[in-house]
Amino acid sequence: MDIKEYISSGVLELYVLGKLDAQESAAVELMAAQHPEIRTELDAIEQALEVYAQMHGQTPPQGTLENILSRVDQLRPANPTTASGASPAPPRFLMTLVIIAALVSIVAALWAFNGKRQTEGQIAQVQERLDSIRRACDLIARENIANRAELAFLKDGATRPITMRGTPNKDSTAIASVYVNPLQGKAYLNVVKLPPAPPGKQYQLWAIVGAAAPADMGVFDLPTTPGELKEIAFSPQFAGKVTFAVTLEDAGGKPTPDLTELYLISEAG
Amino acid sequence: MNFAEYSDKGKEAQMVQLLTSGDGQSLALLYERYSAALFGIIRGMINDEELGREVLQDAFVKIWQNADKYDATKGRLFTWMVQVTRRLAIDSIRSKQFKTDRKTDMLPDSVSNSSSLSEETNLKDIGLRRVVDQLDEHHKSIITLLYFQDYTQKEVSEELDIPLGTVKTRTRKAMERLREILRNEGISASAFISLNEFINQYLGH
Repeated sequence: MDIKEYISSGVLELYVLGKLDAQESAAVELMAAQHPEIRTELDAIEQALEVYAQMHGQTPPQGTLENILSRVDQLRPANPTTASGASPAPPRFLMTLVIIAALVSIVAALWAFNGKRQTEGQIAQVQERLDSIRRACDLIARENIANRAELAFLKDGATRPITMRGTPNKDSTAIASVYVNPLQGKAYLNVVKLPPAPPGKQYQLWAIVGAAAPADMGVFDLPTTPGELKEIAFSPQFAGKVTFAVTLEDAGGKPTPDLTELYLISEAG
Repeated sequence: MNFAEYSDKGKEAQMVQLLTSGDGQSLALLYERYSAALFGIIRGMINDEELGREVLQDAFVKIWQNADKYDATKGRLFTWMVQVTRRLAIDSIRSKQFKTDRKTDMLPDSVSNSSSLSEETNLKDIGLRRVVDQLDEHHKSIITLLYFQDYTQKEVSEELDIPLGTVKTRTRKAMERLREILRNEGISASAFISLNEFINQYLGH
């Protein structure tokens, strides 16, 4: 049998979806055991459906996990219980038996109570964990969305990178980029390498369009995490030729740049 | 790149290990990872939330009890869990003489199902929307009917008014398209499993 044809027939999908009868399923399992490429294909189909199911997931009502845990708990090897109902016996012996039985059941009750308390404690712990996981998950999801948005911005055909390089009289290895997207009307600054600003000083970004005076684009601090994009004000003029530059100024910035403190500048483009 | 290359054998194995370890905490982690996905599948078959919840509980207990019956060489853990869950859902529908009006009611996108809409689901929905929007209607509906609403091939052919033989080829096409979209979006099963990795790392398991 042609394996490729077999794979593309759709029978593997129907198998994973559970739509084949026992005989057809057995045939697929046999094929999968003989041909690794079929096993690989099955795995890929299963993964895709798993992801799709996760995406369509619906959070079950609260308390569901607790119910499951307590039911599983009850399935564990049962607690030893005391047998009652002794046959006729001398009264004193019976009395002793009753006392023993009573003691045993008290101990068992205490034990069960303690166990219940422990279980409740565990449930609370698990709940707490779930809550913290949920919070972490939200955070990661939020970051993920932000990252995706950044990635989409960078991948967008209309996004143009403008690289600023370090000036020789300051730090020639310094480098930073401005990403401009006139269609989206957005611009981001990405500082790759720049020496830390001394106390009381801040870096300031400038945009120079044509013969106009450098426009103040605001001061910025070095990113706390490498590769972090910082959104900056967008001007429609960025669609044309624009030069970006960075100077070191007194904290808070100045209306005009101090060109002796020029750290970064791009080629006009 | 082949989708299977995203395979997360190590992490999948970790999940299987959780299943067989037998303690309550592992069960809670499995629940955290799979309960929503399984509940979504149950709700595709059973409209009643309370009944659906009972089925989910039964399913987890059964999965727990039958952990040794899962055979990793035959398929992924989740696929097996879905099989167990689906069987229980079918039993439950039969025993309660309970039939959803699934013939007319397509699976509601969880996006529009606002009963438990939280920020969390909102965020997830963005990813879902991106994927679902790229699927053609006839691809989306065949996956929904077969996977979420447990239609047979014959029922699908009647519902969609297509020849029985076409169900198979269209299922293949639909799944190929879904895999392509997921690949393009960079979404793999490990994206969800990394939560477990997070747990291990931060909560000291």
